[in-house]
Amino acid sequence: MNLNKYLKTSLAKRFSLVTIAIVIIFSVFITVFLIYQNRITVHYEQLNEQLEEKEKLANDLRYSFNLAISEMRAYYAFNGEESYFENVLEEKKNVENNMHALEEAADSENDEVLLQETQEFYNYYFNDVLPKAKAYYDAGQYDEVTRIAVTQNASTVIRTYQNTLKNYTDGLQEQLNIQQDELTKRIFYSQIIFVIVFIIILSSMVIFTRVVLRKIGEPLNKLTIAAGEIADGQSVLFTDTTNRSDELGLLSKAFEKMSRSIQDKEQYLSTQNEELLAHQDELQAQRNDLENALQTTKSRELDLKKRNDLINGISNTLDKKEVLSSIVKTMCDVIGADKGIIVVLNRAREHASFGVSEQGIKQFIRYIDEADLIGRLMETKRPYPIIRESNIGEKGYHTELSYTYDLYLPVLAPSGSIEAVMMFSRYHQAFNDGEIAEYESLSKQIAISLDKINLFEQSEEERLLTQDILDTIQEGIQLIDVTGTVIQVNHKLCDMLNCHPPTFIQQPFERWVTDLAGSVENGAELKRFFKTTLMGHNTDQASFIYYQHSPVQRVVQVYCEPLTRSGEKFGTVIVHRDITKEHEVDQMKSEFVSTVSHELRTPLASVLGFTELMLNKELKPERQKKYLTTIYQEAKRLTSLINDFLDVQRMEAGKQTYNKKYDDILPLLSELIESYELNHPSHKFHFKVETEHTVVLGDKDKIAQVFTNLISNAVKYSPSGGDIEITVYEEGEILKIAVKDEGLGIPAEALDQLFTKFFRVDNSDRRKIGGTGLGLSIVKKIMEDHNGEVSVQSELKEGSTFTVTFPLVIGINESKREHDSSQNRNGEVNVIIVEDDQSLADLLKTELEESQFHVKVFGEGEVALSAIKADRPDAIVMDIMLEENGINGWEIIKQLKAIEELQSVPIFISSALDEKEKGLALGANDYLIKPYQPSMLSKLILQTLLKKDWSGQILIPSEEG
Amino acid sequence: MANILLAEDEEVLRMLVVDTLEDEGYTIDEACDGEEAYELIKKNSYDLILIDYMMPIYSGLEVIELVRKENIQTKIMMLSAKSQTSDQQKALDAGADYYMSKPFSPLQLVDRIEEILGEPK
Repeated sequence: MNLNKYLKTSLAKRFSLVTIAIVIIFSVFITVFLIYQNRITVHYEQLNEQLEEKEKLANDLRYSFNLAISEMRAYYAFNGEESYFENVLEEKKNVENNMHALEEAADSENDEVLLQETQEFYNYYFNDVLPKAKAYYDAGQYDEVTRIAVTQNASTVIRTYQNTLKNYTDGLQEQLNIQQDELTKRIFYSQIIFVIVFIIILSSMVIFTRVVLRKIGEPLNKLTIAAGEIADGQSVLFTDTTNRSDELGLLSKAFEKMSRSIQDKEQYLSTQNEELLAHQDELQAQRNDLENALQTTKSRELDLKKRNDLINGISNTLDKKEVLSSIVKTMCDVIGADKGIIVVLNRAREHASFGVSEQGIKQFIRYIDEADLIGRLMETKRPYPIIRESNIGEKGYHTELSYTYDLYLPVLAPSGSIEAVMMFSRYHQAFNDGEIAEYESLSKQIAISLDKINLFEQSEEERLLTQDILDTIQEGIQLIDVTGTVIQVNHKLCDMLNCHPPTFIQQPFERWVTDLAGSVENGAELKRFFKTTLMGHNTDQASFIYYQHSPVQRVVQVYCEPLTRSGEKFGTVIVHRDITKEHEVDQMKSEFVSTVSHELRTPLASVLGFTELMLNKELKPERQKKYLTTIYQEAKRLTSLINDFLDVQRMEAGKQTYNKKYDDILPLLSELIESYELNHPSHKFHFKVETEHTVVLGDKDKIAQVFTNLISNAVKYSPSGGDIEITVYEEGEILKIAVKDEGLGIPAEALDQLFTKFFRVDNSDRRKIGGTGLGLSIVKKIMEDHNGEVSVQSELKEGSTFTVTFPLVIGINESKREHDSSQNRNGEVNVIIVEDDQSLADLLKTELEESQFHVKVFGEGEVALSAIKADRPDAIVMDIMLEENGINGWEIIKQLKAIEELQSVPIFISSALDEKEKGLALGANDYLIKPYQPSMLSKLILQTLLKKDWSGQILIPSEEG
Repeated sequence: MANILLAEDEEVLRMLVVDTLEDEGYTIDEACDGEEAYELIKKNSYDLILIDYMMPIYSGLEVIELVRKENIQTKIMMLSAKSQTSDQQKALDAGADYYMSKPFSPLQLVDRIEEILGEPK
C-alpha cells in the first residue's frame, strides 16, 4: 500500500520502477537463457565425454585384446618367450581396467551388452583358450594349440567380439551424432524462444510505455488544452478528474486551483472591468462631449481666426487701398479661392484683386458700370455661387471637363445698400450653403471695416481740409489749450519757428515760449506778453511785435484770440504774422524819405542860402548873377531829383506803365548823340551800328531815359573829355548797345553796388560831379522791364563800358511793319480762345487784350472750329476738355492740322490735363497746364509770333490810336 | 582874425558858406572830403571847424572821431542835411560841439559863429 502510495506520488519514480522492472526481467530472462544454454551445452559435453570415454574404452579393449592376441601369437612365434606372455598378462590387466571403467561408465543397455560380451570374451579367451593353449604350447603339443584354435573356434569368437566392439563404437558414434543433432536442435529452439521472449518483452515495454505515456499525455493534453483555452481568454473551469497524486495530479490540481483562481480573478477583473467599462463609457461620453465642445471651439477659433485675419488686415491700416487688398487676400485664403476681386461701388471704383489680370479688373469694373453684372446682387443682396466650365487658364494640365465656381458676395453697408461687391473663383470645388453663410458673415465684418475707413476718410478729409486751410494761410497759426500746451500748428508757423509739427505739438507752454523767446531779440518781452495775455486775464495788449534773429531775421507780429465754445474758453489761437516785408518796406520808406529829404535839402540849402544872402546883402552885380545862376541850377537839380524820385517810387511800387511798341532804336540814339555832341564839344562821339536787327519792343521815352542816363554819365565821369563810343551789335539772340567812355572808371569794389539806389562811388575826384545816385538804378529797372539788362565793365582811370541788352527782334523793321500792316487787317493780331469755362475765358481775354491782341472766345468745339476756319486767326488758345457732347480739343487740333492753310497757325493748349507730349505731338506750339499766370499766355503768344518765320501771316500789335 | 575850416563836398554850399563868412572877415580853409579835412586839421590850427555830415572818404562823423582821438580839442560844428534828432545825437556823441541842420540860413550861421568865437576883430 505504501509503495503504491509512494509510486502514485511520483511519475519519475514510477517510471524508474518500470524501467528497473524491465531491466530485471530482461536480466533474469537473459540469465535463464544463458544458464539453460550453458546446461545443455554442458550436458552435451558430458554425454559426449562419456561416449568418447566409452569409445576410448572400447577402442582400448579392442586394442588391448588385439595386443594380447598379437603378443600371444608373438609368444608362440618366438618359442615361448616369456616377455611376450608377460605383455599378454599386462594386456589382460589393461582389459580388466578397461572393463572396470566400462562397468563404471555403463549406463545403457548397449553398455551392459558390450560389458557382458566383453566379459564373455574375456572369460573365453583368458580363462579358457589362453591357459589351455599355453599349457599345450608349453607342453609342446603345438597341434593341440592349433586344434584349440581351430576346434574351439577361437578365431571366430575373436572375430565376433571384434565385430561387437566395432558395432558398439559405431553405436556410440551414432549416439554422438544424435547428441550433436539434439544439441544443435536445442540451441536453435532456445534461441528462437529467446527471440520470441525478447520480442514479447520489447512489445510489452512498448505497450507499457504507451500506456504510461497515455496516462501522462492525456491529462497533460487536457491541461494544455485548458491552458490554451485560458490563454485564449476563454473562461474554462478545469476540474481534476484524474484524481492522481503524482506530478500530473499535482499539476492538475495546481492548474485547477490556478484556473479557479484565474476564474475568480477573472470574475473579479471582469466585474472590475465592467465597472471600468461603465466608467469608461462615462468618460467616453464626457470625452465626446469635450470633443464636441472642442470641435465647436475649434471651428469657432477658426472662424475667429479668419475674422481676426480679416480684422487684422483691415485694422492695421487706415489706407483703403491696403485694406482692400488685404480683404481680397484674406478672403481668398479663407475661401480657398484662386482669384478674387473687391470693387467698392463708389465713384472712384476703388478696388483690389488677387490673381486677376489688369485687363480682367478693368473688364469687371466696366461690366459693373455698363453691363448688369451685379444686378442679382443688387436685387437679392445675398451672395450666390455660379458654376461654369473652367477655361483654359484655369484648367492647367487637366484635359477632362472641369468646373470653376464663382462666388459673388455683396458687402452691405449698415444702411442696407451695397457698398462693395466681391467675386471669388475656386477651381473644382463647389461652394456649400454653410460656407456661403460664413462668407456672408465675414462680408459683414468687411462692411464694418469699410464703413470705419469711410468714416476715417471722411474725417481725415475734413481734417486735411482744415489743415490745408490752415497751411494755406500765410500766417503762422498756433492753437493752444487753456494750459498753454500746443494743440495744433500750421506749416507756416513751423517754417517760421523752424520746428517739426510732431515734436512741437503737445509742447507745454513754458517750453515753447522759452524756445521761441530764445530765437527772438526781444525775447523777454515776448515771454511777458504771452504770460500776461495767455495765462493771465489781461487781454488789453492783444498784439506784439517780435524780432526773430534765427533761423532767419524776421519781424513778426503776434496776436492772440481766445477760442470759446458755448461761452467757455477752451484755448487760444495765436497768429504769428510775418511782417518782415511790411517792416522792411516801412524801413525802406523811412530810409527813402530820410535820403530824399537829405538829397533835397542840399540843393534847397543852396537856393535858400543864396536867396537869403541876396535879400539881405548889398551885392555886386557879378555876385548877384553868380548867385542867381547857382540858384537856377540848384532849382533845376531839385526838379530832376524830384523826377527821379518819382520814377523810382513808381517803379518800385510797380506802377510804372510802359507803352511798348516795336521801334527802331537807331533814330533815337542818333538824336541823343547829336544833342550831346552839341553841348559837350570836349567829348568826341562815335556811333557804330554793326547789325541790321535794330528793332526793339519798348517804351520809347523810357529807352531814351536809359540812354540819356548812360551818355550823360559817360560825359560826366570823363571830366577831361575823351572818346565816347556807342556801339549797336548783335550777340546770339540778343541786341546789345554799349556806351564806352575814357573817364575816371569805377573801383572794382564798387561795381557790385553800382546799380543800387542812392549809391555813389566814393571817389574824391567825383566831388564835383553832381547826381542823385538814382540814375543807374532807374536804368536797371527799366531794362529789366524790357526783358533786358544792364551791365558794366570798368577799369579805374581807364574808363567804363555800360552795356544794355534787348531781346533780338528778327524779321521786322520799320518799313516792313508798315508794309504788313497796310496789307493786313490794320495790324491787328487775332487770337481765338476756345474755352468752355466762361470766367477763365474772360480772364484770358482781358489779359490778351491788354497785350494788344484782338480776341474772340468760343465755348463749344464745333462753333469754334467753324469760326477758326472762317476767321483764320493768328493764334489759337485751345482748351482740351470742352462741353461734354461736343468734340474735344484734341479733335479740333487734328482737324485744323489737316487743313493746309491753317497748319501754320500756332496753337497754344491751355488745359488742366498734364498731357504735354500728346499736345506737342499733335502739332501744338506750346502747352500750358492750368492754372497758370495769364501773362504767361500773352508772353508765349508774342514770343511765338516773333520767333516764327516772318511770312506775313503773323502780325505785330500796332500802336494804339 | 579867427581861422575856420570848412569841410563840405557840395561845391555850391562851400561857395555859400565861404562867401558869407569871408564877408564877415573870417579866414576860411576849404576841404572837399573827409580825408582832406582830417589832414588840414592835423596840419593847421583852427578856431572852429565846420564839417558836413555826408562826405566822401571819411564822413563828418568819422573825421570828428579821428580828430578827437588825436586829442585835438578844436570846436567843431556839424552841418547836416540829416535833420533827425538821432543824427544830431550821434554827432554830439562823436565829439561835435555844435550842430546845425541843412538847409540853414547863412545869417544865422554867422550869428552862431559869432556866439562861439566872439565878435570878429
